[in-house]
Amino acid sequence: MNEQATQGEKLSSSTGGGVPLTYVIALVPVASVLNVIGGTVAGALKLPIFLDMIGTAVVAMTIGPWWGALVGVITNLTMGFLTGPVSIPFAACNVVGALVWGYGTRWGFANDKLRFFGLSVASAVFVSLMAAPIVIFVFGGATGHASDVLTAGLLAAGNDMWAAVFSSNIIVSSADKILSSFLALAIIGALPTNLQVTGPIMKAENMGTAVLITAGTVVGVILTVVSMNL
Amino acid sequence: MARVPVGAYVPGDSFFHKAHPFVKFYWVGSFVIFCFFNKNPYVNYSLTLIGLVFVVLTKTFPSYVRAMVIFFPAAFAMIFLQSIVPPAVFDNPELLAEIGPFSLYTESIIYGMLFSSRILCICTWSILMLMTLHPGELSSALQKARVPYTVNFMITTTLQLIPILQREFGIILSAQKSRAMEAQGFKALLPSIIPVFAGAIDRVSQLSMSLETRAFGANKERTLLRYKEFTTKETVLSILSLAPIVLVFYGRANFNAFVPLEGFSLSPFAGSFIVIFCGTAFLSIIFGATFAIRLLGKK
Repeated sequence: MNEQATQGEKLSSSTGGGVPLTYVIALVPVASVLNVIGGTVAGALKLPIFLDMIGTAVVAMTIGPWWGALVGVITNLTMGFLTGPVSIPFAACNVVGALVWGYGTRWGFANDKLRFFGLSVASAVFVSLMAAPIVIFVFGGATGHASDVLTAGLLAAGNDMWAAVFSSNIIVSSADKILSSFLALAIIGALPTNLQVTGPIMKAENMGTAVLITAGTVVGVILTVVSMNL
Repeated sequence: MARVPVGAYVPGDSFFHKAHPFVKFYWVGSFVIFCFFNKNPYVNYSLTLIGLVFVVLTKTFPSYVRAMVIFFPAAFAMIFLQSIVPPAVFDNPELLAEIGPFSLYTESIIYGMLFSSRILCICTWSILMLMTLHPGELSSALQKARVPYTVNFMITTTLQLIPILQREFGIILSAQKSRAMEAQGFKALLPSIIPVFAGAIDRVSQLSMSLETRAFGANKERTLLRYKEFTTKETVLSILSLAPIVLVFYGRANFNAFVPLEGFSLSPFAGSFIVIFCGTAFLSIIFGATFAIRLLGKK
C-alpha cells in the first residue's frame, strides 16, 4: 500500500529513533509561521529588532541547514504573497542564516555556551553581509525599519552608504540573531529529542542570561562602530 | 474573528478577480522588470497612479491602504537617505541647496525618488494582484506550475496558519495586559512569545498525525476545487504582458530609459521641500506611531 510507503519515510536522527517525514512536513510551515509571528511580536512589543528567523534557526539546528533554508524561502515567499514582493529578496538572508546555524550545529558549535554564542554572532555577521547589498541595490539604503534612523545618523556623520547600512544592520542584526538563537534553543528543548538530526544541541539557557549576553554584545558592536567613526 | 492579514484576498467580482492567476503573475512580473529598468521616477509614479485607479475600481482600497502603511515609511526614507549623501554614481552632480550640514544634489533626490517610485509601483500592482487572488486558486496555480506537492502543501499551510497564530498572539497579549503585565519592550517578550510557540509546537504534532492518518503523499496528483481554465483569452493577455518589458528595453536602448534629454531639474525650493517633507514624514511615522500607540494604548 502507498500509505505504508509514506509511513516508512524517515530522516535518520543523531539521537536515535528517526524523524517521520510527515513531522518534518508539518514542522516546516509552522516554523515559517513562527518567523512571521516573530515579526508581528517585535512590531507589537515595539522592539527595534526583526525576530523573523526563529523558525529558521529551529529547523536548521534540528533537521538540517537545507530544511532551514526551505523554511526561510517559504517564509519570505509567503510574506511576498501577503504583503507584496518587497520581502522576497530577503529570502537570501534567511537562507544564509539557516546555512550558518545548520552547518554550525553539524560541526559541533551548538554543544556549549561559548561556541553557541560564537555561532549566533557568526549568523549575525553573515546575514548582515547578505542584507546590506540587498538594502542598497534593491531599496536604495532604506527599508522603512526604525534602523533607518541609525543609517541616517551614520550618513550625517560622514559615512558612505555601504558603511552606514552595514553598520546599522550589524547592530540590529547582532541583537536579533543572538536573541533568536537563544529563543530557538528554548523551542528545541520543547521538541522531541529524536528530532535532533544535525547533532546534539545544548540545553536551553536562562532567557535572562540570554538578554544580558545580547545587550553586552550590542553595546560592544555599537562601541566598535562609534570608534571606527571617530 | 481572525484579522485578515495585510494583502490577503478581498472577495469581489471585478475583472481582476476573474482573471487567471498566471495572467496576473505575468503582468506583475512584467511591471517589476519595467520598474527596475526604467530610470524615470515620474513614469513609475504614473504607473502607481494607474494601479491606484484599478485598486479603487476593484473596491480593495481599504485593504490596499492597510498594506501600504508598511511601505510609506520606506518610500520616504529612501528619498531622505539618498538625498543627504553626495551622489556617488553621477559625474558632476548639480548642487541644489544646503540645509544645515547637508548638501542637496538634484541627482541624489531624483535617485531617491527613483527607488521610492519603484517600491510604490511594484507594491501597488502586486498588492492589487494578491487582493484579487483567491488562496485556492493560488494553490491550484502552483500545482499546475508543477511545484512539488509537499512544497505546495507547506506554502498553503503557512498561509492558512498565519492569521490563526496572529489571532492567538493577540489573545495572549490581551490576557497578559489584563494581568497588568508589561505589554511593550523586552520584558514582555518571553511572557507573550512562549505561549504562542508552545501552541505552535503542539500544532506540529497534531498536523503530523493528521497527515499520517490521511496517507499524505499516497496520491501525488491532488484534485482541485477551484481552477480556472487557461483559454485563448488568457494566452493573448499573457503575451500582451510582454509589452512593458519590450517597451522598457526599447526605451533603454533608444531613449536612455526615459530620462529627459536635458536631464532632470528641480528648483532649490522644490528639492529642499521634498527632502524636508520626506525626512519629517519618515521620522514622524517611526516616532509618531510609537507615541500614538503608547498614548492610545493607555486610554
